[in-house]
Amino acid sequence: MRVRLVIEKKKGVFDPEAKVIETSLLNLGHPIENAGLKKVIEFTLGDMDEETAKEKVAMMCTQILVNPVLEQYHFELIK
Amino acid sequence: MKNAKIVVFPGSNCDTDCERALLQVGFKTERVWHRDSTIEKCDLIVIPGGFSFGDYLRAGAIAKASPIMSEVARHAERGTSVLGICNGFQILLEVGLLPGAMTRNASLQFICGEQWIRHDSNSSLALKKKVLKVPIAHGEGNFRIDDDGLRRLQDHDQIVFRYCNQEGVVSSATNPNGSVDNIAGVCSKNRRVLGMMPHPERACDPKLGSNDGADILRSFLNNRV
Amino acid sequence: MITIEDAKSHGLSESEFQNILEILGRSPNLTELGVFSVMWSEHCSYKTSRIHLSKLPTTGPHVLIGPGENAGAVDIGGGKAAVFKMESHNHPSFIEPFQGAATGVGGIMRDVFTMGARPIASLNSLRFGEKEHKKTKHLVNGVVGGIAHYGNCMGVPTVGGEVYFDPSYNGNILVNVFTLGMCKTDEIFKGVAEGVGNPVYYVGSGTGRDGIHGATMASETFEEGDEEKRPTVQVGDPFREKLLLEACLELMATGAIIGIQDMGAAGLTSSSVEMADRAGNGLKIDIDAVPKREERMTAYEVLLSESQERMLMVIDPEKASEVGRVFDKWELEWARIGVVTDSGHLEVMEKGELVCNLPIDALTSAAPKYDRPSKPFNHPQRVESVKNVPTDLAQFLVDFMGSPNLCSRKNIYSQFDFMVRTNTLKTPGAADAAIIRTEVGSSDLALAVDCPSRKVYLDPREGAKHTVAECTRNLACVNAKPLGATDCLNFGDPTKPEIMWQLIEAIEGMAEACRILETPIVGGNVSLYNASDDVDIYPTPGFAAVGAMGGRSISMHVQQAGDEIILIGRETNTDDLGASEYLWVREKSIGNRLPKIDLSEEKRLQDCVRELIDEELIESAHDCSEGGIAVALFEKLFTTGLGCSLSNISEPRLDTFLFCETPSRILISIPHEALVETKILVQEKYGLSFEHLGCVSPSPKFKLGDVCVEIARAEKAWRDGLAALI
Repeated sequence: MRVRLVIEKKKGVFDPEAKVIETSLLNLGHPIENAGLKKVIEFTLGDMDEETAKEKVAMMCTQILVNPVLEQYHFELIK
Repeated sequence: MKNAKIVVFPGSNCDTDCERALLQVGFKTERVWHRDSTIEKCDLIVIPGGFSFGDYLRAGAIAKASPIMSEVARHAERGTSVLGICNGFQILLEVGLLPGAMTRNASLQFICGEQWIRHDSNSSLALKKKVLKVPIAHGEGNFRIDDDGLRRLQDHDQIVFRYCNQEGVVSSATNPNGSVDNIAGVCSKNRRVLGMMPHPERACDPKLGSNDGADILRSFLNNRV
Repeated sequence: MITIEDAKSHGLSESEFQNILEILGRSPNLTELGVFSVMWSEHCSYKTSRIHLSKLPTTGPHVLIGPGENAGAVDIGGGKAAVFKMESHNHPSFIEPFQGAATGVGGIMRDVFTMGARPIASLNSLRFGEKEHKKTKHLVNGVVGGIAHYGNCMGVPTVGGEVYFDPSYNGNILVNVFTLGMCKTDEIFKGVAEGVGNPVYYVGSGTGRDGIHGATMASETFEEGDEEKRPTVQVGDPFREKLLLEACLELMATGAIIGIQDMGAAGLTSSSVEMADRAGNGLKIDIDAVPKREERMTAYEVLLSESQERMLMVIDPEKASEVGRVFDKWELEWARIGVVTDSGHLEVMEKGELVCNLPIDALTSAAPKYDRPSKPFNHPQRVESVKNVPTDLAQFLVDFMGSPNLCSRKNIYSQFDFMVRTNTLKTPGAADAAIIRTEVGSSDLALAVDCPSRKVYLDPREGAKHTVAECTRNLACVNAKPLGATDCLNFGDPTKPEIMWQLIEAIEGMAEACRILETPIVGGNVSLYNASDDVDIYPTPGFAAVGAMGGRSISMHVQQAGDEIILIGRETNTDDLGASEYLWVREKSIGNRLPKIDLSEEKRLQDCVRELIDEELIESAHDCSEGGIAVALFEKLFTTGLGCSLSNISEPRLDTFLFCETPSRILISIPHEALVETKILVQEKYGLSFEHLGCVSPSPKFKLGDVCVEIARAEKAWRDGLAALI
């Protein structure tokens, strides 16, 4: 089973990097707004039922991958 | 008197240090702002270190979009010397004036300290010494290039500096950041453009531990890279 | 209708709420309650410490600006001022170490450049739990990374600091950061809202919901599970701060700025209230005009937000167009958000309605002041001696040098850019104090920060004297004379009488030492409620001193074989083991008695070492403190390729001689020819002890009787001491 995990800043948490990207795109004449940066982590997880897989990924997120102060995450399981 | 222009980006922070060092070795200096679209005739363009645009996205990436950079490229083509130091080197890589790319140090940590480098190019800077003490301070100085690119750099004598120890020995133990082939500085094929991670402007005063950087800057007064 | 429960949820006590009702003659609305809660918080009002802080000496021949402004300032000659301050960011750093430490650095830098001074050097003082504690590694890496991220990007060198590990910080780390800036003495800017009718401008980043209640959070203790108090942590943007620095300095040069203050803790509220208060004026602010990062923000949120990288300015109306010109160039937000009034009130408008109308003095001078009860800390009897000499003293020396509180800090400071600005004459680890070159005509500056908190815990009054003495002794060892200092008083929960007693004793001890050692305190910070699960931290009154360099500076390292090694100051007393590193490492005890410090002897020692350096009699000098003679000596030898032979020592107990921590001692090395002259000067002119321990040897070994340690072995242990952590 393939896992596609997306980690992003929580709503309301300032993202300086996204702000700079937004400004520079505007300066280049691209009228965009609400830029956001996300991390995508993909990996293969051994065969298991969906519930177990979800639990495992959630545990990985709390153990190491996600900083709960600043970030939130969601993921999809690709068979 | 020779003329040096110092390109200042939002987030540059070695511009003042470069200016002081260039004045000291005998240049006349002037700063140019990244939004400027022309650079008047000059002998040397310096892109100083720092964190242009916070190093957000990729180190040096956003600076690429500044109007001044196409002007720097035009000057380089015409034969003006261009020196990129640290973040300036990263910018030169991003705009394609030099081959290769930078990634985070192998340690994944910013590293600041004394460093020895070996001057490895034959037809380059007029330097009295082969082994120089020039400090480093960077988080992304891990120089990457594919095998073909590396071979081309070697074949064309474009590797100007390598990280070494005090005796001039180049080895993995003397590599502070994981760079391919211990590369600390490279120049363009036409030798007009030099990029280096170590900071020559920080080695222009024996009171600060080294005067070797002054020799590097001084060689731009007479010789091209 | 606002109730007492609302007040309590804002951290206000019942009597404080009654007080508010009386002052206003009415009930505050929610926005007003929020404003009161932050202005009356410990962080902004110093309500617990204020009556005691007044005991500190704050004047001196070099002092330009003492406590009360954004930072203090001293005259460094040549028409230049050094502007500096130290501040804590303890609670935010425990919750989110990287961003907490980063925004701490950002805040202290703004405090300095808001005065018109370009930051030129930073220090930090860090305390973590014991090395083995499960959170320590994460916290150390986060904090160090955060400081590096912010300081390096700003282009301000981090030139020194100190780090210690102790179980008392397991649940509450300390992150204290210091920044020094330089400007002309007659171009210092202040946070004053002068000139009724003058426009008030907001510049910098937009306001978001981040950090709301940061100021009240800093005044509460932690409990298990509090890491979930997450959304209050702000994200720092050093890039934007760098732009803000350049833009502010550029605008200052135009003469447009009348008053300026950074929006730090309690954000827009405290900056506007304090600016109005200093000028005796009022301020009227339009919330709708404030640049915002998020939608539908209320006046309450905008007033209490602690978004970073923002400034408030009062502008000369004739030059108001300069604001837009400069801040547009630097691509920063700016807006005219209000006006200086003669009402004496803070008036806040939202959608045309007056949503907050409070007398300024109710928020400042009428804020509560507490003389909280205190009672001496009752220490249990502890082990105070070490039974026997380590069986293998040579091996012990190696291990001791690698222990967390004594080993090299290079793994930390090499992550900081300590060379940018090309003025760092003494880099971290090279001498007892960092040395920064300033400008022709002005003094070069030596900087040091210290706090032996275990000593302060054992005896707060004496320990605070040790703190001041060690810090100024570090300056003396490089030939600098103190110009002024800043404190950062980190203590536990002051509602406990024993903690209050620690605070009072420490302040009084610090005051006495500052007076005798001629080091006025020009600014500082108090951080209370540093406790978790009812465990209070060791009292940690951090102290950072700034000194003017004499003509010549020297290294801490020995210079050549054949030089004599001398200990000057107070005669070594092998019973001085109280609060020593040795007693801690061997017995896990801090003992019962802290060696008393004789401040006049300390003053003579510092004067003496400066004279020895000026007279070119000595080659190196190093403070002898944590770990005693052995540690000072090893540190003098590391990286030099030299060794030592201590042939003149005939002590029954070598261990206690090598490791005891008798105060007021400096280890020097001198050429053999200078022996007689130095001895006369030290003993006769200054009345100090002169212990000739041995000499520097060409072979890199530490030799003392039968004990012989290869320097390389000890150096490796010392260098790798933090490798497991960082």
